[in-house]
Amino acid sequence: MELSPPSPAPAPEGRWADLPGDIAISVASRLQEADVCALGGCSRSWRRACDADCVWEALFRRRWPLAAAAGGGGGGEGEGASGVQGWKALYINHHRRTAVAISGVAEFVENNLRNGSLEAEYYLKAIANLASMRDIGFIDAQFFLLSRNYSAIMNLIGLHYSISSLNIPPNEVYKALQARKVEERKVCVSLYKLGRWFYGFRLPDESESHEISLSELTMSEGATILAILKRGAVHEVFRLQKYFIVPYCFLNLSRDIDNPHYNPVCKDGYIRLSLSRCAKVFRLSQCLAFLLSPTTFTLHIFDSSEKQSSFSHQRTHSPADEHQHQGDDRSDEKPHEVECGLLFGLLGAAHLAHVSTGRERSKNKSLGDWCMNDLRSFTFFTVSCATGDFVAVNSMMVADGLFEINNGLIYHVPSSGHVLTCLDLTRQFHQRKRNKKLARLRSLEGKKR
Amino acid sequence: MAAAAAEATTDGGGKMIILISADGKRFEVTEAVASQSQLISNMIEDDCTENGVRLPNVDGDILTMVVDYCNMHAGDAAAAGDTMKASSTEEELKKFDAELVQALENPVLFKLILAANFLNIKSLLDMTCQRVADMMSGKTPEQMRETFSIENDFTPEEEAAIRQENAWAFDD
Repeated sequence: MELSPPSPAPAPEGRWADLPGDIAISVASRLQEADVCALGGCSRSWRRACDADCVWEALFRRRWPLAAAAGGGGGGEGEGASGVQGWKALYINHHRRTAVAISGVAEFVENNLRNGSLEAEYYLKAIANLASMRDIGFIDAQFFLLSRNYSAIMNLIGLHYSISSLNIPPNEVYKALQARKVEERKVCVSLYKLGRWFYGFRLPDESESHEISLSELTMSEGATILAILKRGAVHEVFRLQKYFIVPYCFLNLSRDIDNPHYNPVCKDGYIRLSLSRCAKVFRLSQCLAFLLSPTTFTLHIFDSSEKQSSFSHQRTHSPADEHQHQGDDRSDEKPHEVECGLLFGLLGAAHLAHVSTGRERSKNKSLGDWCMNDLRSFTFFTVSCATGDFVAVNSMMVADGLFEINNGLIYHVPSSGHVLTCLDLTRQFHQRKRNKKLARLRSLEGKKR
Repeated sequence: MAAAAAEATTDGGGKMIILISADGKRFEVTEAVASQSQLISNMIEDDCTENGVRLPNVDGDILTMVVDYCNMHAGDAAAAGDTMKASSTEEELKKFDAELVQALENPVLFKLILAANFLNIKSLLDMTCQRVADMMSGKTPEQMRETFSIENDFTPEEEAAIRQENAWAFDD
């Protein structure tokens, strides 16, 4: 017996537009969303297939299973009634909503970036935020978090979230990185391990820094780093940064410290230090904190809007004077070569002590809690990475030992274990102030003459 | 005739069925093989395959591929009882399918889809549709049109509107 075929003679070659509708839909439903959209832009017949409700419903259910189960169907009917093409419109709406939600996380991250690096605390918070949102799946992560429009740190968050929260196999994540063309992006994970206690002295902290590309993070060598990232700031403090190297502009700084208008700009333009303004000095101590990173804490950077120059205070506090030119009254005019770690450890401390004298109390409430009543007592203020609270500590690690505060005196304890230097900054401070006043008076007198 | 002769030779049971392509080529297959096509399976049930099945919209070349495919997969079905054998053939099958599908290009792929659709062989249809989807993925509409020689029947205005509408999916 002979079959009477539904279509006449064999189809002419390559007439893909004549593909039966159900097959076209079957093809479309095997595509990713972007490909469905592209295919829909090919011809009218393909457009019909690509706008089909069942195609978009499947895409929707695959991408947001929770939302689809919760009421996607009802919403779909509503959309259908209002004349928009059902699941596709629903899909696009949900896509936009997700985009807004994720851009909120991105904003949070951007706001907490300091010089391109992100503290562990915020990093983990961002990931927790993502996880707390409903239905941020791997497709969303690929779409938004791994986008080139975001920084490498956001990409890293996307990668981390995909692997640890969504349990996506790393090789899948790697493919996604490739597809989004971000696999070559590099991040630097810096962490500081606590120095051990040794005969009553803390050994210097170990600092580790890993430069790694996103693609390497999906491979075996990245697993340990991902584990550190996941653990966060429990025993290690880490910072994330976009890959850049902080140049040792601090040495320059110590040389030019007498020029209050000195405004070094690093080669890469990342760090701009203006010593004449308080706010900028904070940024300096931030850089510092990055370089030195004392103990488990990082120096907190006060966001001060104080315009008044505070540099002179700092300069008089500068350990450079104390350390190398003790009793030398002309030290103010002299450029100093100091070991930069030492200098900045104390600069930061002195500065923070200065800030804590109360003038800024109103501006920073949590600071007020730890405020010192006068300059006689110095405290190193730090911010705990684990809790985000201010913490006063009485010692601070630097490259060659630690500084300890005792009765308003700062002791420099080198790693060798012997107390070498004892600095009384407050006394020096007042002395300097007096000397300066005298010098000014003298110069005025000289002019008069 | 052919059907009767075949009955003696087959080991898997069932009689032989003759498939006749549009250009008159004849293929002799067992019932087990042929019944993977839902269309032919229905015809076997209705007992109307005695004079061979004419398939007027399937070319001989295409039907060769379909028959190859069905032979491979019918073997799998027959060996299902023996687990050892089944697992080994499963691998072979996968390899065979992968090779078959990789070799497919326009317009053979297109014809094979139509044939699978007409004969109603679900697994083959799935496989070929997947191949098309794979070929499409990651392409721009222009590249898709070129690959599949799809005629652009949109007006420029419509095309611009579509591009606008799809902007969300291509944020880069």
